[in-house]
Amino acid sequence: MKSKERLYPLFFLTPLFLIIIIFWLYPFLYEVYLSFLNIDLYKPFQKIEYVGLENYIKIFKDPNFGSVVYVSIVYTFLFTIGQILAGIGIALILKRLTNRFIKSVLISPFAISTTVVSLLFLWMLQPEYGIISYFWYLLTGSRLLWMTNGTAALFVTIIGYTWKYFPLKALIFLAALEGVPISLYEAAKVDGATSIQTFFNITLPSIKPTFSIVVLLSIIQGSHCFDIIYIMTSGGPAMATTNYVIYLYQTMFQYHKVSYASALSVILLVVEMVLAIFYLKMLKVKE
Amino acid sequence: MIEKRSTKYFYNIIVGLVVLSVAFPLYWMIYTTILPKNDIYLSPPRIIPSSINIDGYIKIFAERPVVNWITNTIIVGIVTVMFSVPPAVLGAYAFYRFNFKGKGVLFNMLFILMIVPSAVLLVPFYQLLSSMKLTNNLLGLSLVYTVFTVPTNTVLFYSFLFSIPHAIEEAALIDGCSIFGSFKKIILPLSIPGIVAISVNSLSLAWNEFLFAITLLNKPTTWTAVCGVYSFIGEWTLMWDRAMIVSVYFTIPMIIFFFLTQKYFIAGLTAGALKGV
Repeated sequence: MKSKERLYPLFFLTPLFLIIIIFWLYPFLYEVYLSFLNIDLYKPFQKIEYVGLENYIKIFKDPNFGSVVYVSIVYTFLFTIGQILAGIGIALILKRLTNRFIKSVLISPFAISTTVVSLLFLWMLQPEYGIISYFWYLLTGSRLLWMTNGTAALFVTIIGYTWKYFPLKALIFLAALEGVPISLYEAAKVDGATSIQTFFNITLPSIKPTFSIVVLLSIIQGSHCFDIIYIMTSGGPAMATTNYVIYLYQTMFQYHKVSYASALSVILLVVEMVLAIFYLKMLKVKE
Repeated sequence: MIEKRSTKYFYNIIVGLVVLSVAFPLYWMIYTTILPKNDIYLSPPRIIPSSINIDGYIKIFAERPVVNWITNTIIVGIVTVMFSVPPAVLGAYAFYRFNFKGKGVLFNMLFILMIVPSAVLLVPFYQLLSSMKLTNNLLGLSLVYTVFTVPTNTVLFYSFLFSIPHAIEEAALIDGCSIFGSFKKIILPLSIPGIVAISVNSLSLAWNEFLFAITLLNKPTTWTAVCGVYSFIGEWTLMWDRAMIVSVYFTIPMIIFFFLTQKYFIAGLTAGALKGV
């Protein structure tokens, strides 16, 4: 009986871990293996051989790598700030709202696929007929030519991504706000605190653990953004919006440097895993 | 709450502006689809339409293989659900019900796999699937989606299991029911909402995922809806009204799904998922 009981977990876990081993672990090991070779489909006559860490060394000598990392960091940083500000702001609004329809509208962007969001923002920002371009023209008197301006192009993709993802953050903040004891607010009111004082001295400290979780979640999301950038700018103009994942994609599917792309992927994987472990630790601290 | 009247006005104006800026893109998406052809390409844009024209919603079916795109998406979604839900349900139950060596480590590993983005495995998946002739194949894409939803589904379902009162299962076991019997007769029937939630999670990945869909599916007959929407970008004259109509069709099911299962989405992404490990 005892030994049989020990087999139960094994029975229930086998299908799950078969999938993980065959479709996650195996491709991962294959990727590491590829990263030690010299496969480059633009050099079909090159003999494929083991080159050790050469691909990894090449990454740090790559003239584009600095710019790619810089764009990724700026993108992630601005995206995270946007998520925090929009997240807290909209959570505060959601907390006081009673109208269910408006509540639903406020969180609806999350249900729209990023592909549609990208297309929609492209349309609204279309230089001649786009509605946002028109408002921009009314406000500033000049045309919004973001497609040829690197900084503007980066901002535009960040705005689209922020619009798509803030509802999730707002809902996470809302759950935290609702956990703050009402007695704290009542005490503050008795003491005559203004609403701004209450926000900084009661609300913010109470939701601090959630705050760090949202920061990390946003960093993870921002660091691997692909779809909106690819659809709106394809990494241009002149690499101004080429972040890490876009560069990885181009290396693989435009320049067909399979092994080099594998090395890039392995590095991305390590970075994302470290972030994920931090995220997990933070959730445990909060518990 | 006693507040100054001016503060209240100020607050309402802010809320109004926020709601407007969130809702405006959605409004504009639908608005573009009901404009008559001549009203779309106007500078300055027309805020109020001269007349309403919804013919596009019918015509689009003749112009683009929308039905084909949606069918492909549904096939990929269903296959992904079939592959990813049963292992997740069984696995989550093991974490919930039993104590075994390495339980904490394994669960943490699943959680990390849930967070790590799928882009990190793009290269080996593309290489392996093309060597197996599984690119341009809906099954190949479903396999990719399976591995990227299984960890999430397990974690989500695990947190769902805690909402089932422990006493019900205990009673069945005391009455002589086996573990398999109680799993089948007690746990499964009670966890239908949880199964629905994780199925929706898999479906929504199949519905939204972009990177693997555009790299693995190059043949137009195999395109899923995402590829279809994206295909408008490459054209000489981008037909914005048509692109927006496809977007609307494509968004409606997601909105419905989302509002049905909202609470599970958030439970999975935040602390709720880590109870008891």
